[in-house]
Amino acid sequence: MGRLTIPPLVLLLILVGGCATGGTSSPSSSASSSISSGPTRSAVVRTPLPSGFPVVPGAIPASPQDSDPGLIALWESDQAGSAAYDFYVDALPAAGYPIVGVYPGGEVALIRFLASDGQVWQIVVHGLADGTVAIEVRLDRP
Amino acid sequence: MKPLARGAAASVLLQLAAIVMSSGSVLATDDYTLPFYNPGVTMSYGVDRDRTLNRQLDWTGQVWYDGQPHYGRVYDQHTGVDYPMAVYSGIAAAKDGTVVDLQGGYGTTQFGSFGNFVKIQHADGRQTLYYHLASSADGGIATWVGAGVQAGQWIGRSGCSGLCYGAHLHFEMLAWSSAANAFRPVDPLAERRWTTWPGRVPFDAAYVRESNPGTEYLRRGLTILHWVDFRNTGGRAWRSWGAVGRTALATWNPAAHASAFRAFDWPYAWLPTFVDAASVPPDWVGRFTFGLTGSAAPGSYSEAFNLQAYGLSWFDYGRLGSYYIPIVVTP
Repeated sequence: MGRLTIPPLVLLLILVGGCATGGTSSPSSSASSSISSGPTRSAVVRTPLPSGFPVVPGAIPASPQDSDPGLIALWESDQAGSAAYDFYVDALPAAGYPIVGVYPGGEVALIRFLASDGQVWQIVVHGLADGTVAIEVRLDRP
Repeated sequence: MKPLARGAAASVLLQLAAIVMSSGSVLATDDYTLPFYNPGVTMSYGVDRDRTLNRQLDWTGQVWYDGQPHYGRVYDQHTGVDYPMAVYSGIAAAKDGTVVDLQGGYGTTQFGSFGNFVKIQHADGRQTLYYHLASSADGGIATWVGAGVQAGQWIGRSGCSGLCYGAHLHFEMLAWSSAANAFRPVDPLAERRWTTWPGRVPFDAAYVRESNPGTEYLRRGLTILHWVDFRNTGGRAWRSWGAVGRTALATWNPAAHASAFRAFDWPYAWLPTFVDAASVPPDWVGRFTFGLTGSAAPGSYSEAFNLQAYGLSWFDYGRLGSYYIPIVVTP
């Protein structure tokens, strides 16, 4: 067990109100939670999340005040820390996204998988200060 | 030998010693081994050797100036080494020692600040910590406080208790800090604390050769001699002595069944022999010599064998090459 630390990015999160996509939270839910920069933000060009991308049941879309173009989508969930990781280990292959590496840990879980264009993307799950977890879909980074 | 030549020879020896030391192996066969049995497991995150917030020094020496996770390397302020593995995987003591603390009361996958763990004190003054184990009720704790454990001994099963994002083992090595007057985490990779670099599971082997790789024909009632060589691909030296931990060849499928081919030299009906040599260090080849007696009725048979660290753990039969001997008993 390591110490719990919160990456600076997480501390900047601003929750977006509303429900998960279309009020449903099944793996087949549409990924309309893909981040869209607001009009007051600089225009960050982000890779769109494919429709039908699996979403953790009950996850709420969130939006970062962050200019990282590698971030594709972000949700917050009040499920236990390993639930999102376990969900994606099953849901990604089932949805046609082969997993190329899993990296569970004491403060973060990372799953690397192949997107439809053949590029490697990541699911990153980590804790937030309020006890919930953040779930990121992002372009691969070392 | 002239002084000059002696000096040159000494210099060569020193260089050779330096090469051996830098290889991180050979000399440390009694040190630590990886704390599990599956050699296919690789770490997901190592120790952050720099405790500064948002500055990470990973096990390769690379520095990251962020708070992000870097798979296969490090995440910020991580105090141990994480090994992904399915829940209920076997966990092994990394070195001989005494259990000084444990917790098994949390659920196997109960998320929270605390989880199930075993802590072992070693004779070199260090401690090792095995975290996120399954609950005692689920067999997550297979030892008790005060118990003496041997290197490679089964001490519990993995889980995802405590702060756990996906099932894994958090293995931590602690060393006493006089300055802090307390135990502090150290990086076993940085200190090259493994018996073999960069670390191996305690028990593993690969088939090399045998006296007769084909069918053994046994005349009923007579005994023949058979030997088989395996390479020690694990991290612990094999040995033929001691009450517990000796490396044995034993019947398999089912495990430890009484054999119909037991010869007079077998210690037990399920155990033909221990390794011939007194000690077989990692990477060396060990021979197992034993008799086979045609006690069964005439016919064709297949007798499977696996290796066992006697009283501690079986080897992985598949990685052993699924070893078996085809036997035909003739009248």
